[in-house]
Amino acid sequence: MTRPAPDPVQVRAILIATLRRATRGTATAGSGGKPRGLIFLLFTYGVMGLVLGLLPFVSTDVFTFSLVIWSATLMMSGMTMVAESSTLLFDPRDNDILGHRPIHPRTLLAARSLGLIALALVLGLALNIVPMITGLFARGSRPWFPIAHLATLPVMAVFCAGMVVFVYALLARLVSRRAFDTIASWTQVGITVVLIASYQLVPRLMDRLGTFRLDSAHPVLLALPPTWFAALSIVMLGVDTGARALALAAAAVVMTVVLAWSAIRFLAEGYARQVAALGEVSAPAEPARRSRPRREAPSRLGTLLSTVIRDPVEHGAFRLARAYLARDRDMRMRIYPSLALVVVFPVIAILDPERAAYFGPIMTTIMVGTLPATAMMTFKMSPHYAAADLFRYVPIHGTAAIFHGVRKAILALLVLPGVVVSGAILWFGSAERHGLLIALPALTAIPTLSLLEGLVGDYLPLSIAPTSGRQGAVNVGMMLFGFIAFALLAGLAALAKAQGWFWQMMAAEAALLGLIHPLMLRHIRSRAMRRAEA
Amino acid sequence: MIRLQQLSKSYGTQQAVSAIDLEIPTGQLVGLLGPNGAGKSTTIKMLTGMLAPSSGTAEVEGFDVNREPLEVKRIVGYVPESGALFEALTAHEYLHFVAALYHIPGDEAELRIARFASFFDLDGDTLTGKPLSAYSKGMRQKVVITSALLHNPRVVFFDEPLNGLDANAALSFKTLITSLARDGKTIVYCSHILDVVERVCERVVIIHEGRIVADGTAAELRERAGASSLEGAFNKLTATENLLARAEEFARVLSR
Repeated sequence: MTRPAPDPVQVRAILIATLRRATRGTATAGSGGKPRGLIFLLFTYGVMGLVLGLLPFVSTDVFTFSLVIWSATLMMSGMTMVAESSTLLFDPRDNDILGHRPIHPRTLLAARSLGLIALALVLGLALNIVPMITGLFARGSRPWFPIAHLATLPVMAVFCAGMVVFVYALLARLVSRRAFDTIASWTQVGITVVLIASYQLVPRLMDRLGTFRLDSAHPVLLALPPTWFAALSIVMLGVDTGARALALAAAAVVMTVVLAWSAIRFLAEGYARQVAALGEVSAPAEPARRSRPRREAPSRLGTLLSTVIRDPVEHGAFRLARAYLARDRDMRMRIYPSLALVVVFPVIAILDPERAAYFGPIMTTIMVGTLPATAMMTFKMSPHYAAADLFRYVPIHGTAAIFHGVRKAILALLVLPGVVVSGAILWFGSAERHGLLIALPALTAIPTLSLLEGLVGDYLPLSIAPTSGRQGAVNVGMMLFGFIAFALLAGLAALAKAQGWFWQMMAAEAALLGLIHPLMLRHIRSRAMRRAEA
Repeated sequence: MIRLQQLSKSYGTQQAVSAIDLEIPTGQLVGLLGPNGAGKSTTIKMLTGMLAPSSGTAEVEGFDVNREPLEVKRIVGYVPESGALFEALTAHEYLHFVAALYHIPGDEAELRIARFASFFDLDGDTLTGKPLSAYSKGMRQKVVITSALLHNPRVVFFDEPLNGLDANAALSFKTLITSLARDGKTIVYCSHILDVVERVCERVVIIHEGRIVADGTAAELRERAGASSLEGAFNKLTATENLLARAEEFARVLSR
């Protein structure tokens, strides 16, 4: 096959359709056609930008300020795009619509990439709108800071989208369809770890004595992409036009072009092949068996489950959740990045011994604490949302048993391993183990807090169509909520430990949880399922 | 003309389609039948350029599906069994989107969309006023069929096209495909509704476990199998036990 350039008419048509889908949501998603996920996501990014935008008022120079802002932009936009990639890049449903149309793979990948760039641009704009103005007050800034910052944003958006597209297109080219499902999910974890770790490096390299300042010549900084974009901003500002700044600014442009160009030029066909393969059944159905089907012998886990979870509906929901967590590519691509957050903070903590004692346990507690709510909300989304009608026509009073089945699967299969792994990293990786105790109140509260999702509305797993921005909104929203709730709890625990009333606090918490947990259970059990509106 | 020579597709050790040889002359309306998992959809996906064959060759109107998939895609239309659509778009937007993919100018696309809308009784308000997610299954299927025929393809593959269509729409559709074949379009029609296939298709090909097990007119197949209907012939060619007796026994077990 020859290698023609992407067809502009088709790219335009696919891009417009993609943007319409992204900005409207679907009526079946119960959103009334409004992209509530995307709106919420943009709002939270705006709030984060507002907080970051305060930095110039604590005596920060313009380079450091730009670097912090671009680090945050790359991390936040990158994480959202990674979380959304299952919808934006690899939606198997698209194959029946586009697979038989005369679209060259390069045209398809170019259109998809432009969709991602548009998302990165919108997210970046929401995050940068306040810093773009407050940057005027950074030390050494110039009056045209907003223009220089705004001009850097599209380059950053292309880099961010190009990075995600490049990684997945490379993966699609290198691995088989069967391996792709598993490797793609774990690649997301890897990208998320890299994004967070890179972001966490920036404040650790900062001189915080008196002023917030970063040394632009620091060898670690030179390797971080946000440094290149900060250099691009300050070169455009005319603050620094030295050889190093120019080289770093050039790196931003060159790396962006190389990433985008090589993805479209060399990896498009592998990508298109993988998208087509995702829409395929991996093997034909077996011919009907002539003998009577044998009854499967129950596994040990199955026997244990039947003992622990006696309600058959709850048991069924647990098994459904377990199957989707283990087998469904879309679900894994949405949930697995949250696991990265649980692991990355203990690792950062042990690499930063100065703050290992409290930073590690507090951040890990926050991440583990938000995991059940994030996973429970994510579990509502699925491309197979129409199948969830099943829950509405089976004779069940309410959704309590379904909710508890999914909740217990998430606690047992995600949260518990997360606690064990992060706890082990902190325990074995650091000599400062005394701080681990402050995680105890939050961990104790997790089973009760995981009931919150069941208190409002009908909890029906896999019942909402995934739309652009929805996953990112869930992740960011839960992270914000988790930061506030679990940071308060961990902070209180740290205070109690320092003042010697830690165990009294634990006893009070246990008593409180012992009181509200059964009340919440009773409330969830008593709620009848609402009739579907349409 | 569609020509398949030793066309095969395998997934690992599973052979979905095994060395199929088949020729369909231009303007023929062929029914492609087979039990679930027989390899019908895999064959169609190879013929529409969606799926690369593992071995063998296939040509559609002289274009090789493996070497010239884009040329093949330009001249074929396909109605997938899934009836997938971009649900957030209105039918009007969706059909204009499809038209753009085939480089049909806006005015011409508008004209063609209006023609199909009139044929399928889709009024203007329905076309432009609500997203496809709010459509009934039958209305969605009408849009899927329109999107497959909008670019006036020379070869059309229909996979269960009557899904969700009401009796009147189904009757119109059956007349439409017969007329299209008479006008020189090659049509491959996959369905499990065998009496429709028997009435509409001039030739019937039955695939079972990835191989062609029968090829001829419905009358020839009935005669060869010694059955009174195409359904009976299909049963004899693709099932190894008496399905009626099996169903009756199962119903007895259920009602115990």
